Amino acid sequence: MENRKIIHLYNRFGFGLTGKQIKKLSGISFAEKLKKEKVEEIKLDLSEFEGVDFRSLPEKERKEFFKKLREKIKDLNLMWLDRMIHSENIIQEKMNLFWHHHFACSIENPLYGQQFTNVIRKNATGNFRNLVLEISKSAAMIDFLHAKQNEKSHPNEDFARELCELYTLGRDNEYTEKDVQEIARAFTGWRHKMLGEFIVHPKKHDEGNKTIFGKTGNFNGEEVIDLILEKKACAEFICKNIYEYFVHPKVNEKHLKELTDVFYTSKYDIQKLVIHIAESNWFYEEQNILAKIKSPIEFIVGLSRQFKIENENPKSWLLYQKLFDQILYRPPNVKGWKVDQEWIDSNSLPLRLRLPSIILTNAQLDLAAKPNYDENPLDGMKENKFSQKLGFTYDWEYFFEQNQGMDFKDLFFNGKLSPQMKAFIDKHPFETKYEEVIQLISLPEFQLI
Amino acid sequence: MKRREFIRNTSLGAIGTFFIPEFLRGMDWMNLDEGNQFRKLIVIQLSGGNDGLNTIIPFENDLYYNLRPQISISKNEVIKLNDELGLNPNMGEFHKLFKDGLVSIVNSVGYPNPNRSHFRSMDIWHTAVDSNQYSKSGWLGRYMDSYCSNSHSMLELDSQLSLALHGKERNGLALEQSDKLYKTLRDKYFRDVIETAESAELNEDNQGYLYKTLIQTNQSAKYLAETHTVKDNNLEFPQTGLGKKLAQVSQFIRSGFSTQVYYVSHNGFDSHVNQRKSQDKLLEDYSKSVSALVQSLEKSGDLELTLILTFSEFGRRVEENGSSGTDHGKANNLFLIGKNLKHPGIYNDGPDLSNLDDGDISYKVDFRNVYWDILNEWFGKDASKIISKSFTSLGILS
Repeated sequence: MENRKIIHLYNRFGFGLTGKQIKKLSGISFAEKLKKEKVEEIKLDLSEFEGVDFRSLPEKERKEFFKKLREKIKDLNLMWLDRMIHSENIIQEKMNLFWHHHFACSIENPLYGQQFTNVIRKNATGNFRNLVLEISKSAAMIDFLHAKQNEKSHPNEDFARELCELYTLGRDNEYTEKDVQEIARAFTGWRHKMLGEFIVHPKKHDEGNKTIFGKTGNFNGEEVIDLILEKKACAEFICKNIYEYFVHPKVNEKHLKELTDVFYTSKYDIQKLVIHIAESNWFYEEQNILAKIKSPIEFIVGLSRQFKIENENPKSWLLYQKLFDQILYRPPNVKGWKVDQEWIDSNSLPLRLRLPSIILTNAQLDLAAKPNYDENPLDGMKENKFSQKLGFTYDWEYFFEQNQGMDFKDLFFNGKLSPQMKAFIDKHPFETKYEEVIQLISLPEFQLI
Repeated sequence: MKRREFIRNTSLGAIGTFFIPEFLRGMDWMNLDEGNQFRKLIVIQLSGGNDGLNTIIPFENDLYYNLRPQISISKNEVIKLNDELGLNPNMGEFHKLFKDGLVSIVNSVGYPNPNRSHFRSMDIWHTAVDSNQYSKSGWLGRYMDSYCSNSHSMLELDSQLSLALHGKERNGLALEQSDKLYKTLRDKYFRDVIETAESAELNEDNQGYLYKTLIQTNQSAKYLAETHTVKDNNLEFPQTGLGKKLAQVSQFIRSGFSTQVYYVSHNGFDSHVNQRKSQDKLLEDYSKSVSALVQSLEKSGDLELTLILTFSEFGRRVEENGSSGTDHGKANNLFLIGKNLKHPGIYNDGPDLSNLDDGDISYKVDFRNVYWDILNEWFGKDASKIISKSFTSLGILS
């Protein structure tokens, strides 16, 4: 495959490539690459919490115990980010990020976070039925959407509604308000144990008949998921989300229909679906190249892969996520993180334009972090102003060695620089090759993939 | 006639729009007053679905107490507003505003065929279209399209911009501090990039979107940094997220910004679990922060020209759930605060709890009617350009 296509393919199903990686991957098909990739689970070191009977601890120590446990969610966050930056399984990593956005779940407990993230990792290119079922049974989701409070005598509709609206069918698409209420009944009693293990509480579960999508029966949650998956609308909704995320923010109806057919007939095989996209000619059409705006995570991961950016201080990575509004495991709401143009407004754009130069010259970042009351109710009480160095390290030698012989404009913009900006860049003076690169990646086009 | 009045009369009376005649623009004394002549709207959004029934409590209604054995607020706790309705006991400061005739409470506000999803319902409130329709532009954004020329005409005190402030042509500005943008763009290279982009033809895709946003940002950043002159310590505001945001709004107004709409969110109202604890705290913060805002604007003489709207995307289920909380509901109350209210107080009867819509309060007043009046009567603009359905005045604003 030609360079331009390889760059585009792994901009979307990956986090961008260096010149050397382009050469390497142009010799193998996407399907081969995907089949060679491994599922890498994340495993936290939780040994210090094991065997502690926190219930017997005095209150102060118990609080301390939970505080320390909560801190571990940061480790989980950093481990995931580290995988995205360093793993060779780039397609898997990108799919993980997508599914975490799709099943947007804010997680505080690192144990449940680990379980949740590994459900995604195991199923990211597997079968969608397994994925949605395991997610529904995960402790993190049960906590997040109040499934615990969903009981026979008092159904809580939160999970049932989001299952339909956000995870499978799309808002008000082929389900009614009444369906939501009945679906909630089918999921009553879904709980998890202390360590995250799934159980159905028999007394809290409603064994009565439910009428869902016009069918009546004593359905349980798993059967409801099958009822939903029977609807082609579900395949269409997932394909639409995948199209918007991996192909173009505006859906082409013809392509969507094609993908929906592939996905539905394969009984929700995610691997078949993404291979179909990567093998379609339309995926590489001009209007799809550089048509998407990078999310902050895509931005920093891509930059880090290109310039071998590292940071010994974990706080800087977390601060970056906070400042740019995309915190791993903490999407702002059930709809997930922002997408595409939503990332760019007058406030974020100037910062994003400056970011590469701030990182690659170790300059001072002059920003105030937003207080986070969820994390710390006292956060808003103190002046949150600071200006500091993020302390990222970078490796210019690596960059120039990896990209020897590459035209940097191709590498960064895949041939999409407008004539005016091309003329501007050609005329604009620079003293060093470093300066040349920094100027290029400070252009608005660098925000695109 | 004072100069300020002269300009007000000229621009509002004779010309009828907010555009200032070109010949007045460059004059030095104009810059001091430019913003103050025009009416402002501050929108405070209670995000997550505020439980209106525990905000304005129907303390004589047995149905309310029967359906809420855990979380109801008892008759002797409420701050009585009339014989039937009382305020949440944590809203003492708000009660003072009420007594001073600065508040109108509108009950049972909603829309036909309500949606219980946060996002959909918030979208409906932001876009002001029927609940079975979708729009990519918000009601204030469309106001900008028709009547404003700069993105700083509408400011959201946040790191991200709400749909309400997205127009078809123009977006409002989201910002946390007035000079942050300007500092970020003050660099020779970026100035050159912007200059090049200004003379280029920009396309409609994301590439064009990035450059258009950059150009707009640059113009507004300059204006805001230069105009923000009042910088007091705002000690009278609560040192909370909301308090700090409203303190900024107060500074901007007193600095004479030409900004017409300020948008602020107060987050955390999605009270499925242990509602009393979280909501009481949020309402106390709201009450104190709004009161500080009103007082600071009263002192500077800007209150006359300011209207504050407070709303939430929906109310909550009348019956409490199994976890001392409430689930998503439908109609809700809404507040208008300012000096130009025709009949301050409680505008209409409290919600009818004996005729519920599937367990929820039914709407009696369409929220778009409130928007309609704000556009027509407060801003003196043609609301039919912005809202596709037409309404007759509720008679709240003067």
